[in-house]
Amino acid sequence: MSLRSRAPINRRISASLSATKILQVQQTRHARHASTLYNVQGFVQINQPVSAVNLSAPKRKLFISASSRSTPSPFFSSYVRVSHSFKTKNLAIHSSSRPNSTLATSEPDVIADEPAGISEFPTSEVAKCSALVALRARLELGASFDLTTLAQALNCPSSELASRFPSNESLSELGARLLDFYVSEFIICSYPRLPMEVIKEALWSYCGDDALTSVGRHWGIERERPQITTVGKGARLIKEQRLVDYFGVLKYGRMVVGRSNGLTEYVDPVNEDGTERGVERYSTAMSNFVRSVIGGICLHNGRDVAKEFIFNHILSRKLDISKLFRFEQPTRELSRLCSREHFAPPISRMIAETGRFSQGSVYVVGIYSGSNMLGSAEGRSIAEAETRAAINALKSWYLYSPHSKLPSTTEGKAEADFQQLYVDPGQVIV
Amino acid sequence: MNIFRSVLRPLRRTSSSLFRTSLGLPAANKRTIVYLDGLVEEDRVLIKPVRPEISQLQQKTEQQVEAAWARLTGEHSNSFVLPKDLLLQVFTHKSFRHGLLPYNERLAFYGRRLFCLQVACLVSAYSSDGPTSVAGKDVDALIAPTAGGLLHSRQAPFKVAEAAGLLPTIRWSPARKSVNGLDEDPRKSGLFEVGAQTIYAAVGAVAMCHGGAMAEQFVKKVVMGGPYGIVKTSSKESTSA
Repeated sequence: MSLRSRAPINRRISASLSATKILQVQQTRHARHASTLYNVQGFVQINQPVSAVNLSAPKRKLFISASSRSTPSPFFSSYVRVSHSFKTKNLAIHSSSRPNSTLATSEPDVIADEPAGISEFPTSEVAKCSALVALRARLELGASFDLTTLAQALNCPSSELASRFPSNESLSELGARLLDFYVSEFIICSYPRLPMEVIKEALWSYCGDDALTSVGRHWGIERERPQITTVGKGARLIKEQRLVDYFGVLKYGRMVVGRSNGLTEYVDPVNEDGTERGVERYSTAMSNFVRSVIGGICLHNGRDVAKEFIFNHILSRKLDISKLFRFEQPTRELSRLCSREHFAPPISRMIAETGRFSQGSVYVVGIYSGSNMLGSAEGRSIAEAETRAAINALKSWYLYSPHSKLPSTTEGKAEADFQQLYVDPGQVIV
Repeated sequence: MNIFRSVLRPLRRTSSSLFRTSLGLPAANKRTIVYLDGLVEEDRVLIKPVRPEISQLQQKTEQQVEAAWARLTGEHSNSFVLPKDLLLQVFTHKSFRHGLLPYNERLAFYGRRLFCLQVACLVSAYSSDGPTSVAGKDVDALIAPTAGGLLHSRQAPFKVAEAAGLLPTIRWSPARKSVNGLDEDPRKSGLFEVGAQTIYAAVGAVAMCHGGAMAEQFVKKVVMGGPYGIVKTSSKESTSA
């Protein structure tokens, strides 16, 4: 069975397993600073520092099973086995030597034990990751966009690899600034009279966490999944993934480890050594990845390319701004607006009606300022029609959209002619 | 609310096809009544004449605002000229006269984002060969405390407004508990937020009037590097400390 093929993950935990064992499994999977030790059979020993190894001490096997295996089954042939050099700092993990191994490379994946600081992503290893190459081609980022930047964008600060490789925190900060600016400029210049609440709502709809998570999903980003497989009689073994495969998935510290029998397993927020374990929501992690990609594009290709990317992927999504309004006192607000703009006071007039004394009554009311109709609407009662007409009148005011040039189009140009844009005095305060 | 109720106008017999009375309609349409009739042309509401003392006060305010703007822009005042009404709007907060006059909220919203983007680009423009550099640039400076103070706090623009002497010129109303906003703690009275918002609104106004390129120059030459810019005010604070 190849490491790359994903076996159906059976998350159902037998009732006989205790909570402590589950926590130990979780700690092994999510521990950052604890070094893992592999015994002779290739099973993972839980949280033992290298210097404290005592070969004669009983070793706790990772997989939880009633029966123990003395010799590895053929199922384990695809998993890596460890050399016997326990006392050395560097643990060399060698791939299986079976002839039918489906591993793509026979080169050892050397993982240094507890590096002193953060090191850059290994360029040669990152280039082998097919997921990254495919993602770069899918997003049309170009060859100038380094794969290491893409790998960094997929590495959240709460992930296990964040202690060894750079995370996407700084990239997402830059991308957030770019997104915030270009999207807000688009909204404000397209609809200069929008109320502030609607502007903020539209900004959230375009580049909020949920929207960016949806964008990331459409890009085909997979997240790191704990590889738990069932091996006969309910035994569970955590499959160690190759580092190369790790680079191409979204990595973040999960809050929820699993769900079974109506119960949700949460990760322990504190490590064994007392440090706080980083956890993140999936939506936060995915949205930070999208922001990181935008930040990476700005650094590699410039702000113009990043702006074009934002317009193609973010602002191309359709948003009906007229549905974001919520009025509390529309008639009063319309009256204040007319007073501020020195219009004639608004007066509502009945345009047509039918079925007054029946169940299907319809009234059409128009609101006029002098002889100009500001808005009209129908309703089942006169009050309803009047309110709707006031709302329509206010929307027709707030959704005014002049076709104007964005200020950012003059970026990078020394002397550019720019016509002053319409600046609204502000929304009406009731 | 009675004035907003629909007024039943007397039905008139005219030759226009728009007007129909219940008597003229076929029997099947007797219950449908159309009220479209001649609308009386109402004169537009005239602007009330302004009293002389109010117009004098307004002129004085305009002069103060122009002087404050010249003080802020310094030697670049010719490059960043704003129309009078836009300049007044920059120095008017939403709390002034309950938002009846044009205020700077939307300009500040846009200007703050432009300012933060400029700061982010300036901070991440330094070259670096470290393992965390991206495209040869030091991006980790963005998450450093110094950049965080500029990006997430309003302290720096408030200091600029204070140093340039803009605070007495800003039109605003202090918080309810504060009697005179200028004498009390600016964070409690709201002057802190108002001062910072004025600087952001200035950036936004320059962008709306002259374009993004000029706004970038305004941030670099006036807000960051001007005589009352962030660089000079922060260095003065460090030397005094």
